[in-house]
Formats: sequence, structure tokens, C-alpha cells
Amino acid sequence: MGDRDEAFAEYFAARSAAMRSTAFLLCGDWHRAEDLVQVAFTKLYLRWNRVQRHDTLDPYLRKVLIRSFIDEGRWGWWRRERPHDRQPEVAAAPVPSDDRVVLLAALARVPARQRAVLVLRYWQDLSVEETAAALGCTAGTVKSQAARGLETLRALITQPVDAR
Amino acid sequence: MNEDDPRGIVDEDDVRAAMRTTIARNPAPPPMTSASALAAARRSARRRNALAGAGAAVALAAVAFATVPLRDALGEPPMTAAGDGQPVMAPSAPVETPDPDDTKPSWPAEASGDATYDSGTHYVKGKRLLDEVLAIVPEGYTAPEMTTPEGMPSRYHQAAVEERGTGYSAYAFVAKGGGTGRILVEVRRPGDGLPGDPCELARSFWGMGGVCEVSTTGGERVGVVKSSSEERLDQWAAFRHEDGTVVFVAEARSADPSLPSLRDVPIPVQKLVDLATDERFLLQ
Repeated sequence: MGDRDEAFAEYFAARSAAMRSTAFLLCGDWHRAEDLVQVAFTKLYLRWNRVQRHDTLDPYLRKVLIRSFIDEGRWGWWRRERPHDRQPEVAAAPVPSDDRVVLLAALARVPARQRAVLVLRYWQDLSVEETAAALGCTAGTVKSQAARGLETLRALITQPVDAR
Repeated sequence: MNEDDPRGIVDEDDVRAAMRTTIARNPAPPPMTSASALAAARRSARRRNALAGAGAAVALAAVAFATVPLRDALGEPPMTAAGDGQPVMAPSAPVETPDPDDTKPSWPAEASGDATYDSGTHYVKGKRLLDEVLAIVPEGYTAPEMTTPEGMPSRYHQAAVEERGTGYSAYAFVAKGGGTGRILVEVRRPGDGLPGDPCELARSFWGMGGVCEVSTTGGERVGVVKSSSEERLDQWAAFRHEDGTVVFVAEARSADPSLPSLRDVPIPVQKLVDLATDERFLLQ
């Protein structure tokens, strides 16, 4: 195994689980999440020599993952999975109350960029600036998208959840 | 609120707690292995090199004795492009023999890790759709061949396995006056299960919703969304042809966050409507 392969394998072992959880929150499906992670790591592998510094690996990988998720033109599986999902402004039915799907179902109705902001800010605990870098937008946009995303979630998650 | 309970999201901490709970209560499959990830990545690299072989042959035939002395801005070996705009290594790069698996029809596409065709009839139709997209680039615009810093190609096509049948999509960046936008066409085969009403059909596109109105052209009714909360696309038209094929024609002023946007969308609404009904996108 060459140096690149060895370093890549080590990095994958260290970071793939965290990236997969992030992808799962974005798309709501473990298999799709693994697709996204594989795509992101493959792109990283192809550009390994350009992204040599370890402190830049995570931001690069995160950016590719998010872009792959957001860009429906290239990755259409999310809409294929739920082709008739309606957007929050037209959704009338409440989110299912099953406690295991309630957040995922609500997130699925949050527009993709807002969803990405919520996951990066509140799951990965990135700063506003780091989130902006991952999404390629301004800090102001991150703040407004986060506020709108939270508002959407509040509106969607209204039904009580059974105690376990 | 109870931090295990996602029902009462009020603030940021509630979202954090709900996300932790959601991950904890949705058991993950076994960990992905480094070996399989590395194998997939190496297949992808091998395929890129294999494409370089094809690109090199074409380049050498077309430009005899030409040399490519420059290195790109990132210090990588010089790049050229295959017929479909995919970046490939220049002739001087080492070339590997493609795997037999790379040349036979396959699904799911193991190498690329998603539900898209890598070869075969559907792949060819997806590629043809990109040709059609390039053919509708408005006069005065160019269709640049490039790759964004995040690795997104400026031209792309795919044939993907949908819930019912096959879907084809293709896009091209279009540039004018220093700005770059995007034109995209998606074709869904009959039996797709999409809504029949023109506006419901248009709003179903990528689940984006939006404000829709029906436009007519040649007696046909086309759903048009000219505004939505989505940032990915600015407007799009949707039409179900007589044989049941659905065509979405979409455009965006922005192609990628790394590039300046166009000042206006490249295609007027009425033209979008006309294109949605154009039989060229039936891919027959």
C-alpha cells in the first residue's frame, strides 16, 4: 500500500463514522448516507495531493459532503426517496409522532440549505464562520438560514411523542 | 424540555439534543471499512486514468505533434477533456488499462457508489441529453468546461435508477459577462408516478414546491414555477408529453458559490415553456 493509500485509509477509519452520522441527519437514510460518505471520500482521494495538510482535510471533506447533498442535479437520490415530499409552506399534515422519526421527518421538510446549516451548526457544532465556509456563503446567510430552519422545525414538530 | 424528546424544539440546545437522540435511537449499520472505501476510490482513480487513454488518443489524432507544456494553476499535471467534458489527464500522464468491469453495462454503479449507470444504453441516453442541453444554450452565452474548487464539473449527465424506471438528467454551466449560471434538463420515463396536473408536476420537481402558473404553447399546458424558497434553481417548466414522458427544463442564475452569478436567468420563461414540450428531450 502506497503512502497515499495508507494515509487515506487511516483518515477514513478516523472520520468516516462521524461523517456518516452527519450525512444521515441530512438525508435520513443510512444507506444513502454511506453513498454520500463514499462519494466525499473518493473525491478527497482523487485530490489527496492537493489537500495535504491534515488541518484542511476535515473542512474539505465536509464541504464535498454538503455540496453533494445539496446539489440535486448531481445527486438526486433524496428526492427519489421522497418524490412527493411537500415543502413547509405547502405542508399541511403534521410530522409523524414516532419518536425515532420525528426529527428526521421534520428535517426532511426543511429546505436543503437550511437543513445543512442546522446539521453543521448543531450536530457538528461548527461556528457560523465554519458553516459559511462549508456552504460557500456569508456568515449572515448562515444566521438567517439557521433562524429560518429553527422556525420551520418548531412549526413542524408539534405532536406529542410517546414515552419509551 | 426533556433533552431526549425532540417534540418540543424551542432553541438551539433543543436541536442539538434532538439530533443526539435521533442518532442514538437509529442504530447505524456496521462501520464502513477503510479497505472497501479505498478500493472504490482507487477504482475511480483508475477510471479517470482510463479515460485519459481515450482522451489522449483523440487529442493525438486531432493535433499531431502538438505539445501540452503547461501545468495548471494548482501545479497538477495538465488537464484536457474527454468528449463529455469530464476532466482527464493529458497524454503525458501514465495510462492504465481499464478494468473489464468499467466497460460493461452495470447497475447499481458500484464504482461511483450511487444508483447511476456507468455504461450501456441508459448511460448513452444520459450523455445525449447533455448534448441536447448544450444545444439549447442561448446565443451570446458560452458553456465553459471547468471544474469548481469543490470538484463539481461544469457539464454533467447521468442516467439514474428512479423508484419507477429510469430518469435522465444533464446540466451545463452557462456564462456571460463574467457571470455563470446553469441550465438543467431532467427527463422521467412514463410510469414515473408523478402528478398529472401541470402545476402539481412542476411543484414536485425535486420536492421544491414554489409558486406555479400554467402556460400554454402550441395548445399544450405547461407548469411553470418562477419563484420558490429554493436557492438551487430560479425557475423551471414541467411538461408531460403524450407518451407519458415528463420533461423538466430548469435554470439558475448561479451555478456554484465559487463563481459570480449571471445578472439574469439565461432563458426567458416562454422559451422554457417551449423547450419543455420540445420532442428533442424524448431522447428517441
